[in-house]
Amino acid sequence: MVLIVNLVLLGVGLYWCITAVTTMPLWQGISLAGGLLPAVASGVMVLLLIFELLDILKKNKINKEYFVNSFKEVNWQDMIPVAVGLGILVGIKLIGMLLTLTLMLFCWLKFLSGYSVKKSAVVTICVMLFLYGVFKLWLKLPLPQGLLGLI
Amino acid sequence: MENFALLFQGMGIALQPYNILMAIFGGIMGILVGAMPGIGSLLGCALLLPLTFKMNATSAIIMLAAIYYGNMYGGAFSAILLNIPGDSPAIMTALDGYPLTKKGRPGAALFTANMASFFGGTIGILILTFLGTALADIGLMFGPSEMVAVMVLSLSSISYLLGDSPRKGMIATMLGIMLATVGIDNTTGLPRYTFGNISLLSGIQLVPLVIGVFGFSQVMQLFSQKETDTSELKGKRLRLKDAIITKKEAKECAPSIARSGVVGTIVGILPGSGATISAFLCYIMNKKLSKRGEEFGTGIPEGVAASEASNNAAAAGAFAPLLALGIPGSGTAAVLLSGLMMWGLTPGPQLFTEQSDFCWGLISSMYVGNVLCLLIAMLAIPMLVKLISVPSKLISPVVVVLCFIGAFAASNEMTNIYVMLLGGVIGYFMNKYEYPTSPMLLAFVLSPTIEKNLYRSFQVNGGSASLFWTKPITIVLLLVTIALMVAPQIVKRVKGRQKKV
Repeated sequence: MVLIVNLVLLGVGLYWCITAVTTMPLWQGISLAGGLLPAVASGVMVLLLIFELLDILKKNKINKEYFVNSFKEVNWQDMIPVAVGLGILVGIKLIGMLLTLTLMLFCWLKFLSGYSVKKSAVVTICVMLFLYGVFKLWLKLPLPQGLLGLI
Repeated sequence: MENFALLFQGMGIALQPYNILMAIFGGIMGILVGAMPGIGSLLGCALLLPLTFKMNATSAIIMLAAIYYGNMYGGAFSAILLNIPGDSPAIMTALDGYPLTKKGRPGAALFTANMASFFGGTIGILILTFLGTALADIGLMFGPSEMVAVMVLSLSSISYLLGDSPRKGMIATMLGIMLATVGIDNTTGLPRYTFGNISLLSGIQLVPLVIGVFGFSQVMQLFSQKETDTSELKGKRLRLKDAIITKKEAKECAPSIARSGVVGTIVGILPGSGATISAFLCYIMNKKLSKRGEEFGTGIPEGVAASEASNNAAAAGAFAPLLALGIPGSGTAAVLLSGLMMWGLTPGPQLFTEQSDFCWGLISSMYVGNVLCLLIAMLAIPMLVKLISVPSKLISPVVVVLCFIGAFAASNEMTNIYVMLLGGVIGYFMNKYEYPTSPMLLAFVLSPTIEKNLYRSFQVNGGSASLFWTKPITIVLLLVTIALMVAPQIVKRVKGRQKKV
């Protein structure tokens, strides 16, 4: 997986470098312009990543098996919070931030952490009341209300 | 003497009831956050930064500073009781703290840790009181080229000192610079890497990025990890009277605390080193200098004192370059720097003269806060023992909720939430493949200032780069940077040759 991560980084670095060199001025008049710093930073990163990739290629035999093992190496369970995060994004658009987070907290405690309905509800209510008091009442944060806000 | 007068003037600000309340709140939060394994001062400060939006700058920084050094107190609890450091600076504390617990003296270990934290922190604040203004005076001599050189030195040192691989540290640094270039370019006014998103015109916000890289990624890591075994804490009752160490032990600890306090502060001032490296260095130093050096690691209070005094001193020392030069020495200091900017302050040499009340109010509050943290840490021992037992399966979803609200609150924009989620995934893979995340954060914070000063350097010198090799301070700083990059390679090769021979 480390090879894939480095390749992704290399791709980002190349995009950054090419965009800086081709679409931004590097030098203007007597001083640097907006493209110089991203071009240099991404250029150095690409160079370092090439050395890093060469090291990986030296140490490993790259074949189909390598990639299969790479994906096995990742604990995909760790990605559940990301999936929950994406679900929250959809929820925020539909029912707003406070309701979505309240539902998410209760469901996580009940189904992912395995607490009882009573304990999950008590923790959820306490946490969300505290956050409502701080962010909504005290800081007057305009939390997104989603489609519910239109009603 | 002038510093003392200013310090007393600052006491007037620090002792205002609201500021004392903020110091107490910050201290409690810092100790709680430090005691819980997996949540450090960096995440604590980032998550609580939105709470400061309605405060004045002085009260806000007093609270965040209290979280920072309160965290150093809290980190020792789980290190001593469970052999799991709450935060990385407490790693060395576990070496003697846990064996002391095994010997049936957890109270003595916690008492020593708290007292050493207090005295180490006090030494650090004392040095900061005098060195802060001196450093600011040096800073006043800095022009744009010197500022560029000192920031390049900071970035190189942090990428070389953190993590096992300097190359990975450099890659992380470059990634941080790249992320910082998103938004309107101040020199030409052109948008960079905004992908047509209007919210990105003002750049990526630091708070959501920090919350993602350090908070959300932590939740991801905790998700499949086994719960910490806290069964040995069940039924354990700690009383203050069992915690007092003997007079002989106190006498043995005193020199270690003094040494660690001074060295820890100096290490804390250096960019990139911070509390973790200072705790490591001071533990080794005291092991060599102490009469009972050979017993270090077997469970003696002196070992706990050496590490705890140094990490608190380093936390205080880190404020000197932050306030005087605008250079954060660690990830937490970078969050504090972003806070300063958010409240409309410009950290740097002029801060001590133009915002004297703010600076001295903060320094004075650190004396007050340190005493309060000691009291809270001592009184909270029984409660903290229970808090350490809170399982991560309960903490994780609460942290997720805080991540979402905290990221949104940074500027009331949904883009911040996308940044936080993306930051979480980036942070997760960086941690998994041993890319240090702190250099990325520091580069992200420092690169706009580097770019601005680089631009000015060329402007004032008519487009010539000669400023970088004609000004003595710049030359020295750049030579130190080169030495720092080259020296480890030479040492590595020499060691390699010696092994072959």
